[in-house]
Amino acid sequence: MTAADERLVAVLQAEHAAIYGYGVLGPKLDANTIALARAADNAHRTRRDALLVRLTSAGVTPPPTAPSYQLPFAVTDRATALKLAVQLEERTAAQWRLALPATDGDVRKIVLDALIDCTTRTVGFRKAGSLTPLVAAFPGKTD
Amino acid sequence: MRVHLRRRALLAAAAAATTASLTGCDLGGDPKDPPFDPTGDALMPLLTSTVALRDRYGEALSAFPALQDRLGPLKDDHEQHIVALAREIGLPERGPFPAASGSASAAPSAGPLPGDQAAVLADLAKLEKDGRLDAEAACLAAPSYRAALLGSIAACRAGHGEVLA
Repeated sequence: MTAADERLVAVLQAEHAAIYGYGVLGPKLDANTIALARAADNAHRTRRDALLVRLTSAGVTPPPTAPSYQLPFAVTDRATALKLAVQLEERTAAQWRLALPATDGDVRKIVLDALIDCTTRTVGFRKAGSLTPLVAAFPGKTD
Repeated sequence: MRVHLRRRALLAAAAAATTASLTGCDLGGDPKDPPFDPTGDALMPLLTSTVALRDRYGEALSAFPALQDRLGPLKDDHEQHIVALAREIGLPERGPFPAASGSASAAPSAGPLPGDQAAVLADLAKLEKDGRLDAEAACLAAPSYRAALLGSIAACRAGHGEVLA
């Protein structure tokens, strides 16, 4: 497997986890924020499907989605749901960011667009939850 | 910085190898390190335009101090980008920074600040969008070791666009 495909496999796992997480947090949201979550969930599904196609056509067997994922905290209300949404976006952003150095050309463009999308969605959830700062100086950076 | 030093070391090693093969002697070469010229660095235009962007926030905050809560954190992000870019290029983190060579248009004059608050926010949103596109282009053109930094800067600017929207 190429270094790029290894990174994309890690991204795919993060996307699987994000989609699972949105399924858990969605029911705790209100009418205003559920639209944000639905849009985010759809975006992650689209990225996941594109990754599946890309990896499979490269001869890589993509990791399957797990039946469940451990959540970092219990989602009990709107506030914890928004907090989880922020974490899902940040964790996915971190994996996309790690894929940037391993890719170039058109694939790097796809990776960069995904990192940017995660970041703008994070701002939406942070705004809704009155969480500050609204933007990280270096989105996706974890070290 | 570490990566940068490593790259320079590699350049020096490559120069040494070339010298050795040209002279046929692997002991006589005392290759000079290539002179350090930050103005030719591909990131110089982005550094220059990032300084201009931060300064525009400074102007906006001077004119409309009530916007501090909203704009202050965004200005701080640009400050951090300046430090990171300067470090990457090998310049002192707080400047002064030389002008980028052959890119006088890298930081177009933004003109006078608009008079009312809504227009100032729209002005900043436009500059953030342009800045985001610049950072995206820099990311896509960058070598691997700079791609993550530039990708984060582009993403941060996109996030700023959401804050200003």
